[in-house]
Amino acid sequence: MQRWFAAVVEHPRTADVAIASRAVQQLIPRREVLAGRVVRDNPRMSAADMLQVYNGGYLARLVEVMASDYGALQQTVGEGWFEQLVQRYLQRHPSRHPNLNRLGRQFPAFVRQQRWLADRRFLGDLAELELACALAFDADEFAPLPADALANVPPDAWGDVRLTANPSLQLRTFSFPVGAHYQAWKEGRELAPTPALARSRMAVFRHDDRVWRQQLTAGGFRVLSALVAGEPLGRALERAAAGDPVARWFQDWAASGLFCAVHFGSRGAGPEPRRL
Amino acid sequence: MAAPLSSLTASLAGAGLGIGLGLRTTHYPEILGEWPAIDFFEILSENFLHTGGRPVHILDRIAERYPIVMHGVSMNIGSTDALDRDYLRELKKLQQRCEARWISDHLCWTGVDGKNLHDLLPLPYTKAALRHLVERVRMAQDLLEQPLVLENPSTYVEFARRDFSEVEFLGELTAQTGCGLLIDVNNVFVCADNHGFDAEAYLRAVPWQHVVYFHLAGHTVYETHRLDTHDSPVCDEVWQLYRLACELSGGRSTVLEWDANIPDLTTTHAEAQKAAPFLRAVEVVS
Repeated sequence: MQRWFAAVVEHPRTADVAIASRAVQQLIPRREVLAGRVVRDNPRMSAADMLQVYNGGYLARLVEVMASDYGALQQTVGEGWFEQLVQRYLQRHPSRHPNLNRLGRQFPAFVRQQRWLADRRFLGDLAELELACALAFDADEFAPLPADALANVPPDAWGDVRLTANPSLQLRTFSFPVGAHYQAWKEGRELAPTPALARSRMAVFRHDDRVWRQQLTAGGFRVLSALVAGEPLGRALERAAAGDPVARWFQDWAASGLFCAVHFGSRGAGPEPRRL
Repeated sequence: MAAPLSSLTASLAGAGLGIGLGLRTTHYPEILGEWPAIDFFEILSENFLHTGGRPVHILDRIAERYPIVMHGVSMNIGSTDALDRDYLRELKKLQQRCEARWISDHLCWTGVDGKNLHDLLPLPYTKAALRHLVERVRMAQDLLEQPLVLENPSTYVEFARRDFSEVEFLGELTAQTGCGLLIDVNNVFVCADNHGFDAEAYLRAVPWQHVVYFHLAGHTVYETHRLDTHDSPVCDEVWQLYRLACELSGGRSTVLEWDANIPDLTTTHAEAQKAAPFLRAVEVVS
């Protein structure tokens, strides 16, 4: 009974169509439903109408949830296309977790796979950025590294320093300049057509209870990625190009709360990250 | 004449928390900025599970100042799937973190075969379903180490096969498991209209000794049915049923739920405070 009911609720068309579909009829034949042997008759609504309350509510509710994470994508493709996209997504990736924040985790990859969707690579990038923002919002809370923490590092230990990244930090590379498109959406400006291919890199993180996006250069992205991966500072800096403003990067990153602990390698360690 | 509380639910309902609100993110700025005088907050448990970020951080601050109760939508207590023990453990951890007074969910199922449909789906009120529910409520209570509190859901379908009315089913379930009840007065009204039963007769049949608290909410009226949308003020008919529920129970802690078209906190709180005269008119459980 529950499998039948769930199949009717999840059906991509209507409850009426679901009840008549072969897959659903393998669970309970339509004639049983029409004869009133499954759902009690109601003088105001047919069985299909009553079940439609659940079928319609299912998609509407989950589209709303997905739109709360993927608002820029929704506005870019339009509400109708977005609903279709979510409907197909739910068939492939039904929710299996009590927290609805998890529902859209596979969405960027799914969007990129949709061959019927024009601009799917750009839209996939946009979805990836929105997912990064959602993950940053939802990540564990940690106190950022105090401003003077690095001052305690002995000069000869700098090369061995390892930094623990703010757990909300998301590093992403994109094939399109999605940052500008996303910013236009945030500011309520008219969205431009799909931009030309242009590689971009971004750090997305939460600081002071707000989610921030920071464009990174190729060198900055390489260094920050190495540090996040746990490489010592000396080796990470080898990834910067000559002339890169490494000192300024570090000032920006530390001021933005991108690190929450410093370790001196084999010579000892700073304090463990402090969980708020 | 108010019914006495069962020994298990007495410890919960005896908290007498007053009139609370469902905690909603749109109200965070007003709550965190002004710390208004509100008796308690009910949180939607799932919003704070498996996350360590801003939501939990804010909950910590709110729980320092207000009593909290937990209300979930994914226990899936009526499903034929195995009970999700990890989910129950997470609930308990969250309860310890925010010192919630009780944990509630719904008399429903929310998914099968591992899928979560994120809806409160109806159960057939049969003897077989009762046996199934009794076993699972006992298991959940063993894991949670406390009585579970279950809410009567809004439903739009009744199954052809049934051995009990909904309120009879609740009576049997509470008698056999000692679980508590959350009576959503709006849901009683919505279901009575959708399924054609007498809402007052339903309330008179409630096993009041097991009732821990009340829900109030608004709903949407369609030509063919009423939909539990929580998007508007409580209607007059529901206030009249609430008055009867207070008389029959002797009064219980009450939560106003508002989940769509949510007004500012002052307006929401004012709507909830309409319950105060009804509670004052009876001897509030204390």
